[in-house]
Amino acid sequence: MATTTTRTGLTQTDIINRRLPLVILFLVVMASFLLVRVSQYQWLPPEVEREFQLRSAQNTNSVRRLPAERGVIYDRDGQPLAVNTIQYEIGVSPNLILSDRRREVAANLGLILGLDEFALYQQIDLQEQSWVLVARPVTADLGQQIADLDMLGVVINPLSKRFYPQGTLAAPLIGFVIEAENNTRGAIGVEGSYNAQLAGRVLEQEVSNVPFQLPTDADGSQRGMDVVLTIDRDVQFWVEFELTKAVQETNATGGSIIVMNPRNGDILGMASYPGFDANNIAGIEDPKLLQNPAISGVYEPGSVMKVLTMAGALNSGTITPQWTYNDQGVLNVGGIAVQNWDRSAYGIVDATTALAKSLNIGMATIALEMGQERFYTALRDFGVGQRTGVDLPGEESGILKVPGDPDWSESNLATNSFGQGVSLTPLQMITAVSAIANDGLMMQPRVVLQIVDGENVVNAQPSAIRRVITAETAEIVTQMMIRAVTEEGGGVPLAQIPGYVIAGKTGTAEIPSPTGYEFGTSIASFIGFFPADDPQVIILIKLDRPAGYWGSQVAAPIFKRMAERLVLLLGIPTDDVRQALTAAGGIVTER
Amino acid sequence: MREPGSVWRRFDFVLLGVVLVLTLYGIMMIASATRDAIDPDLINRVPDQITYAILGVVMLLVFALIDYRLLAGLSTWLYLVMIILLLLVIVLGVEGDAGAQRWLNIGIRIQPSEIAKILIIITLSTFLSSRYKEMDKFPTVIQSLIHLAIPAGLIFIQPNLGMTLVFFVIWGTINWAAGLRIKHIASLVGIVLLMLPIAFTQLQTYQLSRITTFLFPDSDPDARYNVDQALISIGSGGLFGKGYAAGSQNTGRFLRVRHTDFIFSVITHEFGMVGGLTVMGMIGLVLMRILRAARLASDPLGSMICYGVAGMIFFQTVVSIGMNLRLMPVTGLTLPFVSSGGTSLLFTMIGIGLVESVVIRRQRLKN
Repeated sequence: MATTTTRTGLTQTDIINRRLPLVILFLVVMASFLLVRVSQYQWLPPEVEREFQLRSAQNTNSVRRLPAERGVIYDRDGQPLAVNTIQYEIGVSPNLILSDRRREVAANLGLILGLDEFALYQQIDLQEQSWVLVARPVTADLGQQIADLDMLGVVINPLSKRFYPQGTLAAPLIGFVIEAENNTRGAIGVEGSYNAQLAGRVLEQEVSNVPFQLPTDADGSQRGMDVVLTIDRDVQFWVEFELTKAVQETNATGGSIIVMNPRNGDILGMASYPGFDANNIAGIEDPKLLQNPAISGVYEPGSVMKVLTMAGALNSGTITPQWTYNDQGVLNVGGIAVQNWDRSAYGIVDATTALAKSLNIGMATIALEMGQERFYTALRDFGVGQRTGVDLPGEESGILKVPGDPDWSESNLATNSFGQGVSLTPLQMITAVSAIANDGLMMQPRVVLQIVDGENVVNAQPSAIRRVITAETAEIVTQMMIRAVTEEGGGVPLAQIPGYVIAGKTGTAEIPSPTGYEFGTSIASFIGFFPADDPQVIILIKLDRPAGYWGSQVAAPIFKRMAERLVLLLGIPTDDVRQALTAAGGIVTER
Repeated sequence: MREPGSVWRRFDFVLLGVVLVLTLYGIMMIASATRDAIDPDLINRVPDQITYAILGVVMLLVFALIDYRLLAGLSTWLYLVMIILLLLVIVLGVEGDAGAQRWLNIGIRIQPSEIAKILIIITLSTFLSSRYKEMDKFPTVIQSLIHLAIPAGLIFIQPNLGMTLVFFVIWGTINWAAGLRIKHIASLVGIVLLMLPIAFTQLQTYQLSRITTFLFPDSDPDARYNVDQALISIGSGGLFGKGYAAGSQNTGRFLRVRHTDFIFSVITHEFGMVGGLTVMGMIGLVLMRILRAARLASDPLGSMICYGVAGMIFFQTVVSIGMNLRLMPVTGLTLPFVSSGGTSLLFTMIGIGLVESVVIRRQRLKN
């Protein structure tokens, strides 16, 4: 019983009880603060709630990319030329690893990956991080070793790595892949031009951070399409083999060989020297090596051009095969003196002989008779000065100066007729001549035969660029080209192979430089197709600055070696066997 | 003397009931906060809390049966025990998080300051109820302040700023109840304000950073992280929450020290505003029952003990919830009955036991 009183006369219990309402009031006020605050966050404004929901979601989820598996590139027989191998990306989720276990994880990973253990520990000693990249790329072998340790919080993520099982084979034509974290893409070659098909679809998925998830390609729809090339791996191999051998034998500074089917434009093999190793792009110091000179390197073709001049003249009706002229050894055109390769005068010469003996004066005379209009129309029809439109990146269009251009002169009409003052790429040259081989119809050169998208196979149909000359003209020019190879005294015996009639033309071009033509060097070339009466293959051989100088001496033997290999590889029967079969009603299978 | 049966007739079962529900609620939320934990310290939180809860209820009943006036008689001894315990912390203490030396390891880890806050309620109430006639004299106020300042100082140098403040709140509450005069309060406030700059120089780096983080939230992004995550948790909880053990902020471990300091964030994240108000309402009910006991107490000593317990529970609640809501700086204070923390739960239960002891021995006249 509280009966004690203070000086104010109140008992202490009275004081306590009088002060109680104030205490309760204080409680209520303080509680109200909390209530108001809670309702500010949880009840009143909906936009606040949305903001908080968003921030919460940002904590737990993030958008991650899943790169697509790139399509495979095959040769025409299904041999893989570009494939994917598996490598790994090693990451760590520090928030799933106890602090005192992190040292152990760092030690294990450091040992396998050959990384500094302490640096690794510092990297992963982050309390709330859900993922830290440790190493990329890591070989399949090391990735497996890490997986075997079965460490909690270590994330092993497979990565696709492009691999070229044939090494240097057709490297500029196939191209390579630049592997970047967010932008893996093909560069040069088919990897570049068909990147859209090969690359597939990158998936971006919102996935959870805790537990750490990776996006998945659930329906398998993202993989890139496979690409089947027109290239024949075996042909390509021998193209590169013979090219390298020729360059080394003749001490040439470079060269190109193209093998094509004139009937459909399929490029069976294409190479330039030197090549590169697509599996070791990083080791290439000179970026020029990454070019594909077969489609980008322009050169003055020289005498091979005479085939086009002749075809244009015959097709336009300017001359007939029986046409003759009087070769006096010198022809003055537009202020320059045109001479033959041996500087002699041949007297009265007919058209066939002029081509077979490769007479510059003959060609200049024909061009002058054609006139500017017909001559340049003919060259344009053969695609001179325009890209062929082959399905490879980096193609050049060559240089054709025509009347009206500021740097064209009267003399160009004459010099162009035998392949000077005009530049083409090797692919333009072979495509133009292939029109003659294909009865006057110029086919679109191409490197891709098929695109395979899962079950869906799309065949690339051969297409013609245009009809350049009539079939009759093509037949006449073919006969002339046969003469050019077989002509007694002036032919190219080194290009001939027994059992096959070959239509061809040599070229020995001087190399223009800023100070006039280089002295004592040449681009030696030979272009030929066979069997002449039913061409199945056309070959361009081009050597830069070879010892031996003349196309007939240097390029022709390479053509012969290449042709001998091709008849075996492609199964082209000898002319008499084939003709006997045709006569008996048999069919020569076309590749 | 009363017949034994009457003890239970006067016992406040409502108070006990609410305390039990709150404790169970807390255990449930600790389970959610430490679910799938890999840290051994967290794995044992739920069994520990259950153990201490059972022990706490037993002690609550034991202290309810003990006459609080007997404890008042032991006041000097209790005061000595308290000082020794706090000195032991300084000599033998175990470092906890943030470098604070708060624990004694005697097989199990105990936090003597949690024990001390119950002891100070008893000793201070005893001291003031014996000086009731001098309550309007300033020396009495100063004496009671010295009575408190010795243990409070020992706690401050642990360092434990939050608990030091609890001591001063207990002192203020009991003095208020005892009849402290307004002019004395005013002069004390003046002195405190004058001493504030000195106190600041004594604060530990982490304490300062907590206060600066609170006052200037953008000053330290690192220190801000916990409070930010707490607000995200509360805000994304909404009215009804994300569901038990389904809150991404909780299961994703974005909330830190979520089983103790930020348990209120876990509750409001997973049960929303409804869950938060439930906790606040129940603690409010507890406070109302304690104040009822204070009013019914048969003597000023009983009233003051009840006020002390109420002040302690109230202050810890406001600070704990307030720091979750960025109304207060972050201190290590637990949310009574709910936060994980064995010593705290046990001695808060004992505090309730003292209140029950008072309410059982209330005045017959008002019955």
